[in-house]
Amino acid sequence: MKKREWVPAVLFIVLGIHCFVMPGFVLTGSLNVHSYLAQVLHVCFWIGIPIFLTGIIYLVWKKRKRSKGETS
Amino acid sequence: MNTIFLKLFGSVLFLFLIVLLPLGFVVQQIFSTYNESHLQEETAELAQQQADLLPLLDERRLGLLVDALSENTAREIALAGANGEIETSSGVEEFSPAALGAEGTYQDEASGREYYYAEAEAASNSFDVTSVYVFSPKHLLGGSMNELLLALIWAGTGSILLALGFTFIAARRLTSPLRSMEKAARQMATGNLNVQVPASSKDELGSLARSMNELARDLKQFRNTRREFLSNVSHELRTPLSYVQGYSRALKEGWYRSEEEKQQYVHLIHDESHRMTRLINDVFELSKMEEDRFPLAWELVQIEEIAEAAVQKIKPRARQKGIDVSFDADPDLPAAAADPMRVEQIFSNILQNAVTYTHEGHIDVTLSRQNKQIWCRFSDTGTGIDEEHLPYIFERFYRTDKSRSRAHGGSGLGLAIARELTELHHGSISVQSRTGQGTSFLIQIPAAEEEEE
Ligand SMILES: Nc1ncnc2c1ncn2[C@@H]1O[C@H](COP(=O)(O)OP(=O)(O)O)[C@@H](O)[C@H]1O
Ligand SMILES: [Mg+2]
Repeated sequence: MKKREWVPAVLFIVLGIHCFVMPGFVLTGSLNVHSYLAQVLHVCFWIGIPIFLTGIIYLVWKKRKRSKGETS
Repeated sequence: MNTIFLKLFGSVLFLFLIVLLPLGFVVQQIFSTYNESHLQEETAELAQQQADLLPLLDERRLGLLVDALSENTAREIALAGANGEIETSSGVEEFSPAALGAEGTYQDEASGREYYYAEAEAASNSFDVTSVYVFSPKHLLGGSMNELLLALIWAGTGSILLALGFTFIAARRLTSPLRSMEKAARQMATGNLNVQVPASSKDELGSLARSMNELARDLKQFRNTRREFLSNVSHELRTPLSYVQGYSRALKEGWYRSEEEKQQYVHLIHDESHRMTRLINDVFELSKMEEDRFPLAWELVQIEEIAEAAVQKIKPRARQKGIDVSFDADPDLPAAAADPMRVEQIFSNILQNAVTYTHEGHIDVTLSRQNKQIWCRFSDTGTGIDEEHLPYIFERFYRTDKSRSRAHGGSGLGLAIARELTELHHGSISVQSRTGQGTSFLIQIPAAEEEEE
C-alpha cells in the first residue's frame, strides 16, 4: 500500500474513534480535553484487543509453518 | 478506484447497516422499557413516602406537602378521601381513581400531559385521606431517551466508520495483487510476455499468479521456437532455391559450353529440387510429431527384424565407402508394441548418419534385452562429435558442420525426427561420442508386457 492510500483509511478510523467518544459526553454532558483523551484511550484499548489477538494467532501460525517446513 | 474494491467496501457497509439498525432498535427498546419500569417504581416509592408522612402533618402543612412536590419537581400529587373523592391535588384536577384504578397512566385533559401514577395507602390521619397518588410526567423519560438515542447513533456511526477504515486497508491488501495481476495480464495480451506477475502469497491468488507466469513463459518459448523454426526453414530453403535459380538462369541464357555441362546443370537442378522436397516432407512430419497428433500404426513387432532390414538397406552404401556393417541381436528378444515403419525410419536415420560420418572402419549394431527394455546400440568408428555439440545434435536443423553436412544431403532434421519418433514410442535416445574415435547411439524401446498380446 502506498502512503496516499493510507490517508482515507486512517481518516475513517480517526473519525470512527471520535464517534465512539461522543456518547460519553452526550450522556454525561461534560466535555474537556482530559476526559476526551481518556475516552479515546478506552476506545483504542477495545479496538486493540482483536488486533492483538489476530497478531498473536498469525505469529503462532507462521512459526508452526516454518518449523514444519524445516522438518519436511 | 476499481470495482472489486468498491464491491467489498459496499458489502461491508451493507452488512453493518443490516446488523446495526435492528441492534440499535432493540437496544433502544430495552432501555426504554427499563426506564419506564424504573419510573413506575420510583413513583410508587414516592407515593409511599408521602403517605407515610401524612399522619405527622397538621392542617397548614398539608398544603405545603402538596406544594413541595408539585413545585420543586415535575411531579404532581393528589390525595383522595375514603369515598374515593379527590380532596387536594396539584395540576391533576380531573383525575378520579375510581375510573382508572390504583396504578397506570393518566392524561390530563387541561394540560395534555401524560403521567405515570401510583397509589399508596395512608395510615390514619387527621385529614381523612386514605390514598395518596403521585404522578410522574412521561416527558421525564423522553429527555433521557433522546439522549440515549443520540448516543446510540454516535456509536453506530463510529462502528461503521471504524469498519470502513479497516475494510479499506483489508480491501486494498486483497485487491492490490489482483490489480497488478490484471495489469500484467493486459500487458501479456498486447504481446509483452516479459512481464512477471508478482506471486508472493501462498494462497489461491499466489498460485494463480504462478500459473500465469508459467503460461507466459510457455507462450514465450512457443513464440521463440516458432520464430526460430520459420527462420530456419526459410534459411534451409534459400540455399537450394538459389542454386536452382542460378542453374536454370544459366540454362535459359545458354551459359554453357557443351551439352555435357548442360546435362550437369540439369542434374544439379534436379538434385536441389529433390532436396527441397525431402526437406519439406521432413519439416511437415516433424511438426506433426511435435503436435502430438501423429498417427502411429501400432503393432506387436520384433524389433530385431526391423533393425536387420534397416541394416540390409544401408549395406550397399556402406560397401561403396568400404565400411563394414555388423548386426548382432540377442536370441530371445521380446516383442514390442511399435509402428514398424516408423521404427525403421529411426534406425535408418541413425544408420545413414553413421555411414555418412564414417570414412573407414565399421559400424556395429547390437540389440539386447535390459529389464523390460530393448536396447539398440549403433556404434561407428567415424569422426565423432565434439563435446560442445553433443547436447544439441537432436535439435532441429542442428549440424556440427553446415557445409559438410549439406554436401551429404543432410538437412539437420534426421536426429530430431529420430528423437521425436522414439519418444512417441515411449522410448529414449542418447548418444556417446569421442572426437576422432566414433559415435554410439543408444535407443531404448520398452518391451511389450507379457499379457499385452
Ligand atoms: N554417427 C555420427 N558421427 C558423427 N557425427 C554425427 C553422427 N550422427 C550425427 N552426427 C552429427 O549430428 C548432426 C545432426 O545429424 P542429423 O540430424 O542427422 O542431420 P544431418 O545428418 O542432416 O546433418 C550432424 O550434422 C552431425 O554433425
Ligand atoms: Mg542425418
